[in-house]
Amino acid sequence: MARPEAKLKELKSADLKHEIGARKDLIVTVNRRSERRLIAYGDDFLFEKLPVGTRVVYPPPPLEQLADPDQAIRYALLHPENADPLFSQLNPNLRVTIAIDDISLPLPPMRRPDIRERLLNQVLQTLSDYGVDDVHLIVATSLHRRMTEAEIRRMVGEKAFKQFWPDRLYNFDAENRAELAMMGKTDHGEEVWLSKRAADSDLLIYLNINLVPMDGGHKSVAVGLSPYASLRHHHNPTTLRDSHSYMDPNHSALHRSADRMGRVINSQLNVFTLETAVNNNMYGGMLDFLHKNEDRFTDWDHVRLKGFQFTMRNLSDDLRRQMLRNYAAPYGMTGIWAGETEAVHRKALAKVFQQYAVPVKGQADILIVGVPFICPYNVNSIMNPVLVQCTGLGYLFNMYRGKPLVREGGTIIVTHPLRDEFHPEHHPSYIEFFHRCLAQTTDAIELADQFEHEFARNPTYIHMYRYGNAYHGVHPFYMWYWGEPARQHCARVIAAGCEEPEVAARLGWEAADSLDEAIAMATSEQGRSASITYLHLPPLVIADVE
Amino acid sequence: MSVHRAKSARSPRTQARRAAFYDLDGTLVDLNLVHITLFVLANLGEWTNRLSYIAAFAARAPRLYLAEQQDRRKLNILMFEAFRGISRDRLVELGREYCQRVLIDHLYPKGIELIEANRRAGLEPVLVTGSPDWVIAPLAEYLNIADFSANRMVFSRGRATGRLREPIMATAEKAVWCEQYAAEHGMKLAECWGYADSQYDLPFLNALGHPVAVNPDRRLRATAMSRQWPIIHLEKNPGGGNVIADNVRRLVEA
Repeated sequence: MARPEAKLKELKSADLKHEIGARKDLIVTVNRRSERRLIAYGDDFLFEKLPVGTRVVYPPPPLEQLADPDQAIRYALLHPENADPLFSQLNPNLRVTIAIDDISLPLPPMRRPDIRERLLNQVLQTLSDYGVDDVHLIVATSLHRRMTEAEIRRMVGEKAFKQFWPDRLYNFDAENRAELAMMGKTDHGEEVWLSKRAADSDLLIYLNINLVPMDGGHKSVAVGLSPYASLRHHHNPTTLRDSHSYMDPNHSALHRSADRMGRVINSQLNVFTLETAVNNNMYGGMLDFLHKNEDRFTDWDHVRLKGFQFTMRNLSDDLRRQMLRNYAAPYGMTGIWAGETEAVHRKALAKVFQQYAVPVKGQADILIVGVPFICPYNVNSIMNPVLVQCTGLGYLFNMYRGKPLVREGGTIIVTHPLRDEFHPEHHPSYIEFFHRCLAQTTDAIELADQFEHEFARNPTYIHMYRYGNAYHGVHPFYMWYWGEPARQHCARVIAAGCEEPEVAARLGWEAADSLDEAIAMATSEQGRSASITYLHLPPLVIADVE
Repeated sequence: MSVHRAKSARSPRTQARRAAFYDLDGTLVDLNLVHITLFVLANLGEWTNRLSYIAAFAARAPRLYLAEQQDRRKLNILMFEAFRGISRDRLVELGREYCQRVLIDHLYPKGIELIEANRRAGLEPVLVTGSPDWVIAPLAEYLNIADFSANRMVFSRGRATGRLREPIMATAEKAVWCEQYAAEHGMKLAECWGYADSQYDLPFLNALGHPVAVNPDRRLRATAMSRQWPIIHLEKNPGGGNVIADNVRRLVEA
């Protein structure tokens, strides 16, 4: 039933107390008098009227951030979970490796100081106090692109950068065979490879940021410091089809595999994990209207929205991207835990769900998701069609626990311009994958069988991964597999606002000029009474679907 | 055809073959044709002869510069005129010496790594360059590359006439040669890879299914970005270093 706007209350974090179930007005049903809704559309936002009866799922407001993050970090190091305090594990003869989450987290990149800088400064100070000199810092990129010097400097801060770069602060290289160590096999026969430096260390410290529940835990080490030989065991169509969802680690085959590998590693290594959680404060200042329910937009909010849209639509592509890349999110740290991996992860997960989870009753026939300008794999780069697919079907479809927001056989509408644009230095293998492989088949199993090995071992792509700033040759396959549960679950995907229909066709999607047309296409098959849900982003929300 | 083959052209298994075609100057090595020419002229006969050769070459510099701006083919023709009168034996000997003393030391290690990795992946290496064959032959032998295409000079009674034999390996001729090579070896160019560093190599890169811009100049980089070609850097210090100082050092070495 439609809810009169008059009864909608202003979302005030103080009233909500951030308890699941205590939040109000996060589910809004559109009626005739409802305001248009903001929908992410690449570098821009659509501001569209949704059909009456459409259910809009809003993200919860940001949790209160920790008043003194540095103090909280110190406390966590002194009071770890299921482990001795860090200082008590140290002696001057220790060989220590610190692994750090890479640029794929958080999104957009956060304002300085980055949480990783805060963590590093405290950990390094503790190591220094106890005379530990043999310390290496490895950015856990796995098969992601190498971070540039400037990006690393921004992430770790001046102090650590000056002290360690470049000899003892570097990107993980998954193709340097001499620097990889075989740790054994899991009881499922999965090979566990790891950075040799980490494997040879007396103590491995992992510094993590948990933006969403799929991050952290054993996945940090077992994926972040592993090569293709390990990743292929869980980054494959079969495993990902059995993950319901990526945001629910208890029901994700991907996470189960990573957990098995992590346990093999932890049985041989002393791993000390630091996990942090951040709040939902993705857009602040002039852009804070993006967090609001549109029914409560003020005139000032409308002016800012118009200004934002005018700017985005009139800048050149390069300038617009540069402007968006320069934006830094005012995330606040909501929790920090240290110690044994699984104990730490349980606490971090609880906090993350406290931030994002919204109870939702029932599935919809049609799900609308807006794909924004950024995803984990295009920071300071271009959102290419394969990444749009990964974001829409991989990440946004999976923003649920229990059941997907859309019913089996339903339709997903993805809003994005979908241009045939790639970054040749960051995503070289994506270009060949899109133009050659997807032209032959969109079936993930066939793609894996026919092309994956060739791309994984392609010398030019390996060269660009090792010495340039390119994602590994096999990475576009993983992005495609990422969308596999959604492809198995949904009957149709419609790209709304698609500028290049042939791009949508290449992805196996249908194209619509506008959101209205996409909804009309979807309802023509599902019926006029089809239920529609719009997952309102940004920031982030995870639907607990009953 | 300026094709040199160490192996027979066809074999029963040629149908499944693929190749990686490499430009040389600026792509696999940080030297160019000017450097080869200076090395040869500076090592001919007595020092008085050397001076006269180099002076003559210096006098040709403005024409070379203009040719370089207009047409790479014309540049090659002018450049090779500098070798007129030198005996074939001497050129072959100097070519081998240049390769051993200079060229091999200037190969990019990452380039050699790439050639070998491509070879393991089933891409047979082929050099396609405008450098003279008497320099490329020993280099190909060193790199264990069976086939190459290089510029060949016309000799009369054992001495260089200063003219080049057709086809002259520059711009579109490289592409034509690659097409013929692929046809002879049962390859599909669409499945072959090509590596080059200059805008002049655009026809060559365009002819191949997998073009890669290597250490690209400004114009080729822009083209590669717009055509979404992979861009790789094999040089030791990408984007860094002092160009003038590097060239002076090379001249001193020559």
